[in-house]
Amino acid sequence: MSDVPTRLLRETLRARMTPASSSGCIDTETLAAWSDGTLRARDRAAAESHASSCPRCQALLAAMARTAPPAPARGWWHASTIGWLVPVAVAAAAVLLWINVPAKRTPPSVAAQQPASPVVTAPPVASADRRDESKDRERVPQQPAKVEEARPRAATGATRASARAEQANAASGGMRDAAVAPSSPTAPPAAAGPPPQVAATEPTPAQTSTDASTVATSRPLPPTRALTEQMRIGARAELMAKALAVPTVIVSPDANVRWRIAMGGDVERTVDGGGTWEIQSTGASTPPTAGAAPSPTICWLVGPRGLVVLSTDGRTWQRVPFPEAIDLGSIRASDAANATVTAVDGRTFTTVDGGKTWRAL
Amino acid sequence: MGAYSADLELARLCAEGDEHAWERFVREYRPLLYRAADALDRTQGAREIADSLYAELYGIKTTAGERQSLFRYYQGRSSLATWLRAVLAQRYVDRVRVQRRAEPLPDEEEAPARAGSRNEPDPDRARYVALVRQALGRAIAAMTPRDRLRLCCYYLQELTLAETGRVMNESEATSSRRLARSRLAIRRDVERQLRTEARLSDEQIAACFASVADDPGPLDLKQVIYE
Repeated sequence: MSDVPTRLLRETLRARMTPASSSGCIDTETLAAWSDGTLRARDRAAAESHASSCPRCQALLAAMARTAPPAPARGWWHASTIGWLVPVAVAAAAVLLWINVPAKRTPPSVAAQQPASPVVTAPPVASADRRDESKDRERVPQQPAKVEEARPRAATGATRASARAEQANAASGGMRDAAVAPSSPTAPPAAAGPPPQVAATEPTPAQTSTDASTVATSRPLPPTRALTEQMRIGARAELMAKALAVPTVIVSPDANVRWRIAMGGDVERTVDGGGTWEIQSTGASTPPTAGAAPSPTICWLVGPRGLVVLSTDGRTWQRVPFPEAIDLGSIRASDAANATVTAVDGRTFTTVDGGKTWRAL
Repeated sequence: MGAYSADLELARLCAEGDEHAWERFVREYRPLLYRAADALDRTQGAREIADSLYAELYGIKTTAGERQSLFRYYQGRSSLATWLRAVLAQRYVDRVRVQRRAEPLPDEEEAPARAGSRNEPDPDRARYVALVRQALGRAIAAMTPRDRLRLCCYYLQELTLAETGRVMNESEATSSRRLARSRLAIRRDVERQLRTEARLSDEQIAACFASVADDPGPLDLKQVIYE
């Protein structure tokens, strides 16, 4: 049997409309909150009830829908039918890891008991060391652990081949592998380019880079792997929040020069390997969450709502316009002109002219 | 509220006339506002509203020598970007509605009268059409406001399924499914009313639907969804 004709349906719907009176209509704040999904359920139900018979409010809602920015592409893991599988799979993976690596688990140490560890962003490297992950895991810290960062060894050559630097590179290389993916000891060096962010151990400024006998790992592997797993399932927003909870250190190719984003959002710089820190003003109202320093004088920082700032002299910062007010989670940069940022929704943008123009990848 | 504290702070500084804040606002939000304006009206009509909005946001209106900015109405219940879109949408919709009042009614509004005045070969046709209309009105009145709003978004505002889903805070597929379900529920309710209240037979009910089916209209849900 035939259906009710659409035209008749439209006429009937239109006939039910009450004359618009702006006094009872949805106000701007409510309309915006509706669109952002921040309206309380009760308020939303009341607004829906009104809008169902108000042509003006329907037109407003339609205008909001038409002008809404495109929703970020949702990963397959967001599908409602399999959404419950994600936490179950993560939990199962964590349990399996925990069971499978008991012998290699690092015993409790002073460092492991420390409440907060910084997130260290290693500088770009020309060739990254690949270490046997298990070897690093078996190291037992005898004292509060230290961290050093990977250095551009190929670029700097023998001048940086001191014993301290070698040990430090070994330490950071092991941590990087542990944080990203296990790799073969015979694997070829990575191509030139910035490595991923590394969740590393606690460096106090005085301890960092002063003691050649320090050991790299202080945290057992499973949490780091769990962190990697979280990244893989797309919990980037959570990572941003975590990044804000601990200092984020951005290391330049010169390990003495580094920036850090303190817990309050302040940006600080050291030129003496962490001995002293100088507070710098980026001019941004929101704290950055990640950065990259391709040289001792060049540093990029990114953060929420399209925040990108750049320093080309190591001291002052300029705001770099970004086309969208989206939360940016990470950045890779090779110099002051070339950078690639990744938003927390997974989209990637690149610039080749110091941020004057951005291109979505 | 806390989620938009940075936006609130920016709005506060702009309202106070902080030049740096205003520069930042213009740099970050003007592209967004223009994009929204273009989405509303490709003929630059909405851009004019967006431009005039800047004047009000900057606060050129003075009351007793004091600058008053539109920013003071922003309370941080949403992001500043969404609030700006909402302000723009209100200005635009109100302007369009005022313009439409001055225009003659479209042909569509005359359709019922035209249908009623048609020279019908079937003497029962007019009665059948009236019965279906009456039953349809009741069926729609019996729907939940949310279902009714979804129908209005799709059929009256002519939003796409994705846009309808955005309004209803549900996915495009869910909107499609629920619209189809609403259509089916309406159809069954109308049929039930014709059978139990108008006491029509199956043949008469079929004739009722045939009477109103000769003009399916430009938008057919079944066609959109299933074909």
